[in-house]
Amino acid sequence: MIKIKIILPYYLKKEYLSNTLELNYEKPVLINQIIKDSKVNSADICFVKVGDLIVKRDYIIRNSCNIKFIPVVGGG
Amino acid sequence: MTYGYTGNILHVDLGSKKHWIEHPDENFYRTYWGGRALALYYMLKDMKPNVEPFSSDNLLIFAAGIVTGTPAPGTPRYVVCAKSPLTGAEGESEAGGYWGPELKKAGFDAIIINGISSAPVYLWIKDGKVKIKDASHLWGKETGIVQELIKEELGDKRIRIAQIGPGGEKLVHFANIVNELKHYNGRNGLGAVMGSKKLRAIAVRGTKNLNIFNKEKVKDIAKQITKRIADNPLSRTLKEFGTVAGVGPVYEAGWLPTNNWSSNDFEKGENLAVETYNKTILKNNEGCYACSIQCKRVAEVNDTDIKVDPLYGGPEFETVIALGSLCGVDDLKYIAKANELCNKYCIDTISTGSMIAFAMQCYQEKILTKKDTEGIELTFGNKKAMLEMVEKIAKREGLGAILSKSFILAAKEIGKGADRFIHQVKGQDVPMHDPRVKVGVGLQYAVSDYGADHMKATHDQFFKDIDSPGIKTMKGLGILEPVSPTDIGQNKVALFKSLDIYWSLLDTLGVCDFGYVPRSVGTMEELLEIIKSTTGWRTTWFELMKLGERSINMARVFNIREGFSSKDDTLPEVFYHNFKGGPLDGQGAIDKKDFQKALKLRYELMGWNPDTGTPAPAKLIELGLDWLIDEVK
Repeated sequence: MIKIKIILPYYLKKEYLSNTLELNYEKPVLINQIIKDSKVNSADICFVKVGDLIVKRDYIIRNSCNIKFIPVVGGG
Repeated sequence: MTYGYTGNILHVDLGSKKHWIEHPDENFYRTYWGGRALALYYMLKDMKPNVEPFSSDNLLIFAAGIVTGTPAPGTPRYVVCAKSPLTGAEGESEAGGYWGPELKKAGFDAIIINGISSAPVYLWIKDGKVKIKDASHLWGKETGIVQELIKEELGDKRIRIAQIGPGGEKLVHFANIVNELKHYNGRNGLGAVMGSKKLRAIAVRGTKNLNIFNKEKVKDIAKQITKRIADNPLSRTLKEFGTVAGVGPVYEAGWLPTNNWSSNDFEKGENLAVETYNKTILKNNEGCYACSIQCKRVAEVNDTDIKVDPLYGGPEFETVIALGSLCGVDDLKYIAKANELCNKYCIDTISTGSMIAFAMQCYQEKILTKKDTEGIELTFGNKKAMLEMVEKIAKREGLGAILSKSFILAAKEIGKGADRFIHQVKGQDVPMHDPRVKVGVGLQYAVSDYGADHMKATHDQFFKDIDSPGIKTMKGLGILEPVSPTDIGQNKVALFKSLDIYWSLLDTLGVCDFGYVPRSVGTMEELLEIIKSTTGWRTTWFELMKLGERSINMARVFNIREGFSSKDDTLPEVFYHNFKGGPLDGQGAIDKKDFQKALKLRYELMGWNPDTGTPAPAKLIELGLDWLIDEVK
């Protein structure tokens, strides 16, 4: 079982009314799929961080881990 | 009867102390409308080529937009234009607040100022009457004191004041103009141009209402937008957290500009995030005329060793980073103090932070020594040294005299290869948004008439997904497909051509991008209806986009006249290299050839020569600018 803990930092936690989400998978899974399953709007996520690394949407998660969704930053 | 505009343009000659009022006809207004287009019209028509920025021939122009001062949210803005001492190019800066609406209520759409006064003065404009008043007693004083003194002297608390500070008086090349102590015409050094004219302030007061063609309709739309502001995540975020909300995510994502752009790995980045901000320095939030978003932060510190006066607002996203991680500083209380000092002296916080970070790197590389700094240990992270340098720059003392100049001049004067450590476009330092994660912003930095500026278009992230706000809300401009923020292909170039024109339009109309799509909730349809109901003109998006494009071409022609060309549309070298340190380590470099290709395509899409970036005569004819053809021959 791959246990994924999604952390919603900064204002994402306000928008989605939660600090964390947890998802479980039987086999390796793409970041894109995790975003879809989390029901967090992809447009709200600018970067995905796994451990200390920023990864792309086609990155495959093979082991249990923490993932952070980093929100969009506008100008100003 | 005119609607939306007053029909009065005030000309002031500070040399002779004379003023007169021009009344252009409706077609003039329907061509140049207001804001940047109107200002550029006078800069091109009445200013000789190649004037010195601090000479009497430089024009300083304040121009409100045609919807400035209506009851619609996000319509408080006005522009200030002049030839910039920082860049030598078209200088331009928009500000919100309360001054623009009051200028129109006082009876004027714009003020065109030339000449130099023999002694310090301020302008007092009330209900169409103009007085040039002595300002000797105000000269040298901080902005907060001057604001109070003028209001007291004129006996009216409801007066709105745009002013420079001691930084502008001393001609710091990046001095600002501020209205109501918290709303800045920043960047470009327009405060120094005002200082060179010995004009300390412009106080305005109007008791008449602006003529609006269908006021009820505008009020009705305003009500609807205001209601949605409370529910929309984008505008709610701006209200609750301000622009500072972006600092934490930037740190987490690994592109926090650190130590003068030499690194992206700022260990204590969390200390700058909005959570820390709200716990340690936030007093309250404020906003602009008729706007319920209230995005501006106000900071206060009352510690025994450091105090920050809330009178001068609080640091926003750019300032937190420029006076923070860019200088290696992670203490928000000191950043807020540096912000307060910059604002008292009225110098730009981004440029001041960038200049101090540049000096810190010169010190690290032993290009500057303790002798140069007069004993200050100018190392990255030394927060007390940062505060000392803000004072020195504003007062032009010691090393501060060199650092108060433009980046190119300062690096030249320091010598010893210091120019390797300046990061600028057309002489203006880059703001805190890294083009390596938003290439469209990089394109805007490069083509910007007034040097690198993060407010030259909205940012790539709003167009990255099918559900992104820009894709959902701007289909009316033909923006249908998402583009990745790091893409630099033809779709990105075409997207940012449209966004540049749209943005230029907002700056011409006096509209804040935080009020309307894609950044906020006001729709394109509502904006069009506000314009139509304000003016009574049956305008269309076709006409409006042409107006935005007209402004861009006028600015381009102005710069060509001043000797600028495609050679000046560049990006700092640092962005052609990968990130150093942090989560994006080893990634991100923009391909220089791809960037050049993108710029050429951009010129072609604009109807400009693909090599020189010069507008083609046919394009000028299309935009009603045939009177400028000789300037581009």
